[in-house]
Amino acid sequence: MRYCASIITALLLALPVSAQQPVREQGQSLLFLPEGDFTRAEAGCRVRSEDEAFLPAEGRGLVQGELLLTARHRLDSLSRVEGSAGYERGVKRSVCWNTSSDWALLAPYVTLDTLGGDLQKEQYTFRARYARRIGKAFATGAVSYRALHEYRDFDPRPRNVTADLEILAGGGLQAGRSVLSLEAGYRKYHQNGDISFMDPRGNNTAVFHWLGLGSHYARLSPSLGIRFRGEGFSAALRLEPLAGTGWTGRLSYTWLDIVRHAKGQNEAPMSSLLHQDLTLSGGYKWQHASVSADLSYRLRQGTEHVLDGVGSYLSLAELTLYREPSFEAALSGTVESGAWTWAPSARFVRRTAEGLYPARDFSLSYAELLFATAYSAHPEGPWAFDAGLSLGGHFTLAGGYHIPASLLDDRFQTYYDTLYGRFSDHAASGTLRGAVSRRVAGDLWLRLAAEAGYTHYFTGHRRTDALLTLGIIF
Amino acid sequence: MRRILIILTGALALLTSCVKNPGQDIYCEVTVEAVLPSGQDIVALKIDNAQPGNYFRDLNTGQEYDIPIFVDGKCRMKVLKGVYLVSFDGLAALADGSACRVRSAEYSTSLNAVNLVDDRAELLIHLIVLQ
Repeated sequence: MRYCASIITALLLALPVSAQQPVREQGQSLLFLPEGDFTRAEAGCRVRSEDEAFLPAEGRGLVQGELLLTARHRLDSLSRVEGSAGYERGVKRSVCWNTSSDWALLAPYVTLDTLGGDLQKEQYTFRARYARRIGKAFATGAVSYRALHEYRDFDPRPRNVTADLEILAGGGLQAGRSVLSLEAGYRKYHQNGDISFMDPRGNNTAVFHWLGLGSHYARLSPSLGIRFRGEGFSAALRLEPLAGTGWTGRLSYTWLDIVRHAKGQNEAPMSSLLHQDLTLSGGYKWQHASVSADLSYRLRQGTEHVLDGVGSYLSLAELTLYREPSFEAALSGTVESGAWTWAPSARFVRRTAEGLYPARDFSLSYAELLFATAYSAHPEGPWAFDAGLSLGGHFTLAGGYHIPASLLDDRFQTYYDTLYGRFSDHAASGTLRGAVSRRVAGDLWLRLAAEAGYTHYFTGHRRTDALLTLGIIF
Repeated sequence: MRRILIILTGALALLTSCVKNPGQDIYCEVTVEAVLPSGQDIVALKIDNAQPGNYFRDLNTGQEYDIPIFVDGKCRMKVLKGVYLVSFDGLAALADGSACRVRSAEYSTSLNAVNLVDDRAELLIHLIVLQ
């Protein structure tokens, strides 16, 4: 029973690979996590199925196997280290209007085709973090690395290899019953993408270097090799209670600029997308409850390069022609009562995208309500049980889009009509989770967890999600 | 609360200051002047923009602009800064009352494309008289 507390912690924290917290979300709080060391190994299978793709760029389904190894170790009474390694292997079903990886990060400056198909996916993730207390000060460090390989084995055949590295370092000071910390980070992003056609009859579809909202880089369409290079910085000021009760706060800013290069044209810079995120959070934690309010403003700015016509592909000018500001406000809370946890939350999101020339725009405002409850029973003995239920609603409040007809042929018109129809749809969703754990020998636990989700869109479309994991914890 | 507001204001100012290419002018106002080999004055030059071979086209994005009527041999256009291909056939009315068909092929290939990346530019087009 020496590790009982840590095992219970590990059971509670046994998140699937894809649900891991971003490394930047955790600083010296590693020191404040429940006591104990543990090692956890999990294998799982994730399935997503949609009758019509909500986001064609991400496909209308996913079948994926996942492996995750996590270990947390207290080096001494003042320092702690945690590391994890994950592997995902799967197939995205019917990916269309996108042949680049990391669509959410790179859009709208992605490469796309209108035919699409299943896309093979293989991803490795490695994370490590360290925290140390030095008197009333704290020092932290974290590193995460992600390698993603996506490809298709029939025409059109994209092959994208992505590397994403982030390093964080910070320090904090104890002030009363709280810790005030400052953390700075550096991020390096790289994606190498190629598209090939093996059919002897030639290309079966056109490939576009997308500029967003119906516009594309027409001149370089025959060029099928693209490289994304990105570099970014982040800073976060955080207030955390030293004990379980107190004020929480966070002010963070991230800056990431990703340039798209045409490999076959002297690595000419075609466009760049600058991401800036500003987030302000504030809340209060009681021993068995918490409330939090979050405000965030995100600005993505797209710059297109004017390449010369003589074939050397020098950039003659840069024009910032795309803006995507978005605002988000959220309120959330948790209440723990015995074995039960209740967590209601509400979120309002306003997103717009606008192209300066030709003038075009796309906007959407929506509200989301979520109510989650969880039950954990960890009695003394060989068994432990966890269960959870989440119910949510998504309500579109306003929106619309305007793209000049000169930019839209039949394919693009259908695409944007469908996309807006899906984005502006109301939806209701529910997710049921359950896990059972059994001590099989000494401090070795076996854990089986399952999760099933269903989303019903008011226009009749539906989405189902399922996750099954089996793991050991010791 | 006041401190938080000050921090928030400062952060917003920081974000605002990081707007890329602030105050940029994305357009180029170009004055296009067409001249005949003979040097005769052109009173008006009309181009049928519906014809596929007539274009004022952004080389990189493919965006095309209608070419307005040339008055006294000149016209003005406001285009997105870029590299442009210009090609057209048109009907020129001359100062002596005659008319002739003319062609511009000087900037019709990417190697000869014209760079319009400043706020203002002047473009001289040497026309060819068609028989």
